[in-house]
Amino acid sequence: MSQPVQQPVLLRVTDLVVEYPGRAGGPPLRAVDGISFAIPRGRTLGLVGESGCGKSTTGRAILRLTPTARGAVTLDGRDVLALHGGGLFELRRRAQIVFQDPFSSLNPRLTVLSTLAEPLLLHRRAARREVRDRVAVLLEQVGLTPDMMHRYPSQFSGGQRQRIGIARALAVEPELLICDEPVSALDVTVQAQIVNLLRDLQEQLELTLLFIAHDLSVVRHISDEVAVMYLGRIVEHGPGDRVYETPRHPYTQALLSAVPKPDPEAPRDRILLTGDVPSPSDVPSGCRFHPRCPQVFGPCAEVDPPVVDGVACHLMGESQST
Amino acid sequence: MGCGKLWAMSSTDTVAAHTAPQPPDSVWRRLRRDPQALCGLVLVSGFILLAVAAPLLTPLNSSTQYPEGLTATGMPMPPGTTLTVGGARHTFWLGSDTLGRDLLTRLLFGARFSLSIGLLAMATAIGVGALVGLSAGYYRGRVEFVLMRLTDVMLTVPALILAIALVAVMPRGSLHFHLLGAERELPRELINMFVVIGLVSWTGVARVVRSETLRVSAMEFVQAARALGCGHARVLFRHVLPNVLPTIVVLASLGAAGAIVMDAGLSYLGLGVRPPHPTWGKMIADGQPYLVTAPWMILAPGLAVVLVVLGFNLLGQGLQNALDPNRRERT
Repeated sequence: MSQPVQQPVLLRVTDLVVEYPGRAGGPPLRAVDGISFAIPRGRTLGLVGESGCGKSTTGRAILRLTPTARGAVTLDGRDVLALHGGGLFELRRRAQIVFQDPFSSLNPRLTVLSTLAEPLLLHRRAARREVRDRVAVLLEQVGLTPDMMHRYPSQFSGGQRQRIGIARALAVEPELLICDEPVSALDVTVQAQIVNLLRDLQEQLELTLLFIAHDLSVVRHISDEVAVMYLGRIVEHGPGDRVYETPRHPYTQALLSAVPKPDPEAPRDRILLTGDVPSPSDVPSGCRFHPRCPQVFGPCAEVDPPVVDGVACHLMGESQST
Repeated sequence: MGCGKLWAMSSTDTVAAHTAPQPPDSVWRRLRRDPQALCGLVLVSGFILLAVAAPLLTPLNSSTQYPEGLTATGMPMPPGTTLTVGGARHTFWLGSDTLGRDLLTRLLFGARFSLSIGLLAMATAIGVGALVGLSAGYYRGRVEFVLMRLTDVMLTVPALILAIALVAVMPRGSLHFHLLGAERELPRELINMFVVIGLVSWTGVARVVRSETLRVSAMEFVQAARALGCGHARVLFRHVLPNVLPTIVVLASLGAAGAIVMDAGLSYLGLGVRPPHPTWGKMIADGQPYLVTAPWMILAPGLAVVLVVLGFNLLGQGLQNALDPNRRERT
């Protein structure tokens, strides 16, 4: 991807906190704990992390599908979290989402035509008599054929359903597309097709993407920037190439060492993480990664590391001071 | 394996359908292949047909007491007796009762009451229960708390006792109206019965519909609908309800059976449609003292109740299996 002139920021998330009610009487569970990032128009941010780190919740909070506790989200300068009524409806037009599970993301009782016609009619993107033509165009846009519009979701494969899900999101001609693990449930060969499709569509339609995934190799292929999440926080954020070539946070290093390499001869130094991801209801003191960190030292257990150069790790301060 | 090649694959290649199109009527096909369900369907539709065609099937009146219908000693005639009634030969296929009335005629016209009360009561229960269950499961929070606690309270009261209490305070009498150019009369108890039975039996429906709604609401297409800007009503009725409907259909069939039993029970206790209108429950009550001397009096309406209820239950079970072939049949 070339480096054009700096694009204006489309989506900006500042210190976002999302909480879920905890067990009865207990403190709320913090799924997202103060994350910030910005995506320039037409670019892609890859948001990666293990299951339960809050990456999907982040996507849903941006779209107001789940309530937020604190922080700010702006889309094209407009405060998303303050929207209601017509403003919220306008957000639904400008920002869309592609879901993970192609088997539950389509209503099994609606034909493809009905599924795709709904957003078109709801947001007046097509008059009633043009709906079929628009649906046909949408289907072709995602690599399906118009004659499939009368079928039900059960008559499609996982990859095809994901294409229908993408077509549904594109029906309202959004500017921001949040892809919530769009390929995690698919076969590897189909994953490649879907990622390529998303990349092609991004180019054609000048989409801005927030690409959420737990698979780093998938993210690398599509992202300009990558943010790595751990337990509700972003621990490392930087240009994709930089993060992949020289990961700085020990967590990122461990994640990248787990990615299989295509060359069986290549040396592999896997950094094995011990233990499980702690529960967000019982966050470790200091740096939340310290109980599992292979490079843990002095301040880690006590002090929450500040973000230096997009990396939240005490080692960053160390290397600068020494 | 050459990963690079995979990534380079054109994404806009049209992907052919892997599976052949399935016929949309596969539920009906599965139902047809299930002998039990078919049996239930035949029983239910058979009785409905008999009830609708009642005036064509018998020339006699259901509440007229025919002097010819009694033996010289005043006992009811056994089934199959052929007599001259009003100048015409007539066979009392199911015999007569102690008042000389034709049991077949009473059974057929009684089916009209029993079935219409059963079906209307079921519709009432489904209507209330589905609305409560859908609202509770979809809106969650305070709405769910209030509605489900109300359901729990209703469940603690025995349905039959509550029904008896309610029926006792409802107005009785006749409703007169014009239909198809004729003056018609309908016992008000018909309405009382289905309203009361419906109002005491929606709780089970509410609970099952709520849990189904919870399951469906958690699916991503519901989130997708919200993300597209669909209002609550649209999400609820276009996306959630159609996916809960199979469960509701099954509940309806089983509910109709329950409602018919409850109507028979209330009529048996003398709380149903008032005599001389024929109802199955009252016919059973009338025949009880003559169980030994005239067993046909109780057998005919008793068997009718059993067969209709069996039919609705078999149909419900069959529908459950046909609509959800992945769930194994429970015995």
